Amino acid sequence: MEIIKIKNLSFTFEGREKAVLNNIDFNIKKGEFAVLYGPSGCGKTTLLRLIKKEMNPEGKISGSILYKGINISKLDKKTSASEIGYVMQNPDSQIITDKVWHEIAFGLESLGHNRDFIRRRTAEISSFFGINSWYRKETYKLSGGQKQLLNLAAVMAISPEVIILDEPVSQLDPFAARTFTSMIERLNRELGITVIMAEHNLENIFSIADSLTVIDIGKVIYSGAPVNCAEALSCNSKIIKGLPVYAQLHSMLKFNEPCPLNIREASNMIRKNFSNKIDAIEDKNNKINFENKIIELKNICFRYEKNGPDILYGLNMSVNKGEIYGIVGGNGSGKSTLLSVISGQNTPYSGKILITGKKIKSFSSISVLPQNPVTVFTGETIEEDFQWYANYLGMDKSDKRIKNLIYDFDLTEILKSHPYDLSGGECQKAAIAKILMKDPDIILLDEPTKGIDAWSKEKLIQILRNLAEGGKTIIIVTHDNEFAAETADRCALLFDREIISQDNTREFFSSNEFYTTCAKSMTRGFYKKAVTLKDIIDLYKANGGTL
Amino acid sequence: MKLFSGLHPIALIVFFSAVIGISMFTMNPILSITAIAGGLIFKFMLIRDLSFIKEILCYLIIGLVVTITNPIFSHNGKTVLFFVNDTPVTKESIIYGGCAALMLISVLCWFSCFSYVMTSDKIIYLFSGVAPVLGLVISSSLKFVPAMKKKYHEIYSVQKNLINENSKNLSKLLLAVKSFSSLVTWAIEHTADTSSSMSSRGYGLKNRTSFNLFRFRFIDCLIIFFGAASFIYFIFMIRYENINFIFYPEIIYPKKNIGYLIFCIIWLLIVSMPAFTEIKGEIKWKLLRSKI
Repeated sequence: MEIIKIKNLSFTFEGREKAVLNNIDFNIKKGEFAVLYGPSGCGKTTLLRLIKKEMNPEGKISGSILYKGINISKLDKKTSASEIGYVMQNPDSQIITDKVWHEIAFGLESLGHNRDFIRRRTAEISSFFGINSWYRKETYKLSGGQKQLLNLAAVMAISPEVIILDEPVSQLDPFAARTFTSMIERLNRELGITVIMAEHNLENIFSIADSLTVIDIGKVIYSGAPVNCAEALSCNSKIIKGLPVYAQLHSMLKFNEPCPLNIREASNMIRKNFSNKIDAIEDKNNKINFENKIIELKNICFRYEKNGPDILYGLNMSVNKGEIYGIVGGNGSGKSTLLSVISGQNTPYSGKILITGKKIKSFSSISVLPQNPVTVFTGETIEEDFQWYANYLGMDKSDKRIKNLIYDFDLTEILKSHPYDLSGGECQKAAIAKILMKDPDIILLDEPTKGIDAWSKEKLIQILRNLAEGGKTIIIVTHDNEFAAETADRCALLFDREIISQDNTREFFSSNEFYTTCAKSMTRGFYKKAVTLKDIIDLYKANGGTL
Repeated sequence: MKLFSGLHPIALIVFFSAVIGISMFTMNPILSITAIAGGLIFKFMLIRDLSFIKEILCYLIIGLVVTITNPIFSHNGKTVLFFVNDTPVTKESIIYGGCAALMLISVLCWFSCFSYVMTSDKIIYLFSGVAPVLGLVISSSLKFVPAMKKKYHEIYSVQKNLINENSKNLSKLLLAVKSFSSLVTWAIEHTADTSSSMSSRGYGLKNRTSFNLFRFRFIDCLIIFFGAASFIYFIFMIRYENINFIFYPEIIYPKKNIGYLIFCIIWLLIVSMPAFTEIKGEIKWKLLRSKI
């Protein structure tokens, strides 16, 4: 039985000419776990907002969206509020009240339930979601993962039949993202809630989803089971990037067997079809000059409060000129703090920071790309912001550097846009361009892959490579092992307030057994030193395989 | 053991209104000192750290200032002690200053207990009794303000990396202005999201109810009754009898009749009750624990 039927839907935003959605057709059955997948800016969010009456964007709509046979626009307000739940991308801005219990009760208050009912329901929900221990806490004191879980709990309290989630985990760290996705899975499997979830990264939900609908530039290009999607999309090199590594591998090599849905199946596929006569590849010759140290940290100790715990203690680290240095580590291990210490935003209470061998006061040769790239901008449009900043730096309006930056980063189309209207990837590109304007020697990036799609990630890797080749030194702090493996020359693990291990990237990830990349896990015990998809393909070829 | 602060907000507001209201209109050092003692012990039981000493010091300074200032400006009173620059300083005006200081300290002290006990959720509850929207507005501002503060620091530290604060004279100002304008944009985006989150969860439907975690118990009834009754008795006392000192032209003590005595006993009970509840709870807890 279809709970949502979308027929021939097209949509154009108010004041725009180009349609965001073109003739969309798709149905969702009751109890289905449906995933909408596509790069950012493809129209996923618009489609989801059209399904939820209260969130409808302004614009021209044609075609129909039926919920249980009733057109969404004719749906009774109360039914819409109580039967369709919506969780947005940003964990912070959806929270309404100051207390966790009040947040959960908010929807129930709106629907006019009495005290005893709300009491019982909030208790039920808190127990189900495991939020008993922070039930009376202030909402602003929660972590990002807790906030998003609270948003889900607050929506579930109304006991909707359908929940719509718009990239709910894109702002969370991998650990919190997994917790959140498994909660969605529980809601779907245990309570039979219909789930519609938009994602641009399928890593976590590939094996959970019942159906996958792929949207690109406002059109549905695939609709069906996840198992078949790899084959169907194999010719679309842009879309395929967001699939898990094993699905990408399957689509490239076209084996005559179903696409693996998890690492275990992928590992079996490799053992069955690959040969491992040659089990390691020659390391690419490292161009990094280890004598040319640009940053040295010696015995750094840092804490935020006088009586607080040490976040960094006795930390030593050195980075060479022209190197991409990746720092990985778990949640709250102090990665971002380390960056803020290097950039001079925080001052350690003990230890030395040497830049090109000297102790310096001004950190003008260091630029930082923050976790939320949008905070880099202060102007109304990107163009205005760039001009103001160029002026501030004392550059000429016609200075070639700015023009080159705009050209290199392909920003011409978005110059007139407001920073908040850009997609994650676009905003990040523009932000990198802005921080390069002061011509830094060292660039620090804090979680650069957060909230951007696989396509933008690919471009980012290219940008960083080019910068490093141009002589810039780059330090990246990330949760994303895949990204670190593909980008960095050397990687280090931050744990227990200091750098525990540090090695060139291939050694680093291939000697790790648990904290490592998907490709390494898939080829564990079969290949040595295969840490990226490219490595697997290379080894496959080296052993006589053909694409 | 926050026993007293666990009372229902209505009981608390009635109780504190009675205590603060009576203290405010009492010019009687005996009653004021009782109130101060009760309030301070209660406050100490609540916070139990060194900031308590700071608070006491602060009261002492205020008391001293008030006591000294009064005779400078007021020259009423029969007994002249000495002359300063040909103006008389009287015994009555010094004592009046001292009593006024005690009264002021007792009010301040109970206000500080009040603000400690009346946490935001209790205030919101009381306001939503008057108008539900008001309660919600306070609640969401209490969420929004810390979020905004945090965001400002985030933007500021990012901008600090772009705008070198040491380079030009006005850089620090520029940095603040730029960060603030960015913050405003953020706030607009943020509230747009919040409001669609509200409407998607049914805000604006008819018959909205208001939920809270407070329970009304028998003890709350007692406290309300006790607080209200003593306040009414107080009004009766100042209308028909007298409990206040008269200072000018000479000091007259209130008549020590039955009514006055009863009032003193009631006052002692009411101001010592919070501290007593806390101490009793503490002892009970220690005893229970020693049995384990």
